[in-house]
Amino acid sequence: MKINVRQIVVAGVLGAIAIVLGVTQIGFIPVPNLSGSATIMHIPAIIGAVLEGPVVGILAGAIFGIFSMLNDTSGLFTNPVVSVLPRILIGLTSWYVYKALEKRNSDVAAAAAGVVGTLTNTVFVVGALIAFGLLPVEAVPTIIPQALVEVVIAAIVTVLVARGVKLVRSGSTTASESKDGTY
Amino acid sequence: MSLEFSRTVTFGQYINVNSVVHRLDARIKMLSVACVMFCTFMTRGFVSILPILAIAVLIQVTSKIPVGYTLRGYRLLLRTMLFIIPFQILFYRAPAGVQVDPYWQWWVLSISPQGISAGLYTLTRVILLYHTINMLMFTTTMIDLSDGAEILFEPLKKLRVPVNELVMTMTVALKFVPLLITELERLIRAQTARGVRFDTGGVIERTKKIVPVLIPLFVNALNRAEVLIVAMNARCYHGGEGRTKLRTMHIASTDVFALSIILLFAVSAAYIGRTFGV
Repeated sequence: MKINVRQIVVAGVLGAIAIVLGVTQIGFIPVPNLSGSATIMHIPAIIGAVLEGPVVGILAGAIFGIFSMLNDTSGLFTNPVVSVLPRILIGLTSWYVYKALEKRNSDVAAAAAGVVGTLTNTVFVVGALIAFGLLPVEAVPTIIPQALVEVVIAAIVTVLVARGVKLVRSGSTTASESKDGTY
Repeated sequence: MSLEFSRTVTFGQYINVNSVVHRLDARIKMLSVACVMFCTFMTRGFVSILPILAIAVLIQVTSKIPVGYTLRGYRLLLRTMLFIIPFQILFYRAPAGVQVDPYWQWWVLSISPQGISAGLYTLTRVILLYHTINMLMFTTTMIDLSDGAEILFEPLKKLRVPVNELVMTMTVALKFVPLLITELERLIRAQTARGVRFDTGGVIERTKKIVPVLIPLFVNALNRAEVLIVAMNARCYHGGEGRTKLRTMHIASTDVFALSIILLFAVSAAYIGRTFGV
């Protein structure tokens, strides 16, 4: 496998966004649920997959996973099978969905990628927690409200951000605040 | 919500104390952590987990990290566990051949000494795993970690895994974090100046508020990425081959000594767990 400079840098930057969303708590939206919050930390991985393809999605997801393993506060994510593996899959599944639907409507495709990516994250993390006996199967219903909220948020945010980035990249608008490229 | 993330955020939890553990080679520390974590998963009960506990105490003492500081980190962990452990006790299903004499039973719910002990064992295991990872983070800088990982995973290059590229991705992410925190701070301020309050509202409202922050965050970050791509290409970055390091890592005799002690304890834990099942 060969990874080019573009993929390295974009994945790194998206991974950094995931980390920043985590450490500043901006990436957590309070939900009336036992875990207390829905996350959007996995969205950079989905966006990476949508904008730049599976490699970037996978790498950005991996960074998010490694970060959640190293910066774990709940004690549940110290196991890499729980924290890293599901996050690697986010990029893959959301890219497949996006690729399949892109031709019809890129907004619908991005929303679908957001939904599938989020479900990949939830299902595999919860699945791994159950498999390792860290979470009893019976506790699953308490996670459902959080999962639903995450799916809705991801669907909305992925579409808007993907659209925004594409718009800026197309050159029909400018995002930088000064003309010399320094911000 | 505070507007000054860069002051309050602690990223990477490195604590700068000069101790034996801090001075150990990052590779040795990562190997030890991997080994301890693997062996922790091999334990089967309170007896086999004792050597792991011994390792935890040993590292805690030699690292000179204040015990209070370590314990403070457990608050969130315990909150999650307060929710998980009762579930584990109530829904305890005994493995075949284990006699259960419940204090109380209703439908699939029960409270039994076996269930409680299984719950407490899970809690101990989770705390020990958490402690192990935390100690690594407290005593090793992020840069040492990624440098170490690059060398540790070098054998994977034989399997055509692009190790250098992966580590470079991680390094780029780490270098961008402080930058993006400042950026996020600026965006949040800009929105606050327009009257947006980020700490109120339901789920939908909060999502609506966060989108105008996320879009410029992504756009700006990706613009910065473009600049870095050009810079790296201009300097002919091409992965690991022939690259040299400013700082090279050396394994000293203390490193070997530390690793062998940890191996001894961890393997004995796994051995007890596997053979005696306690």
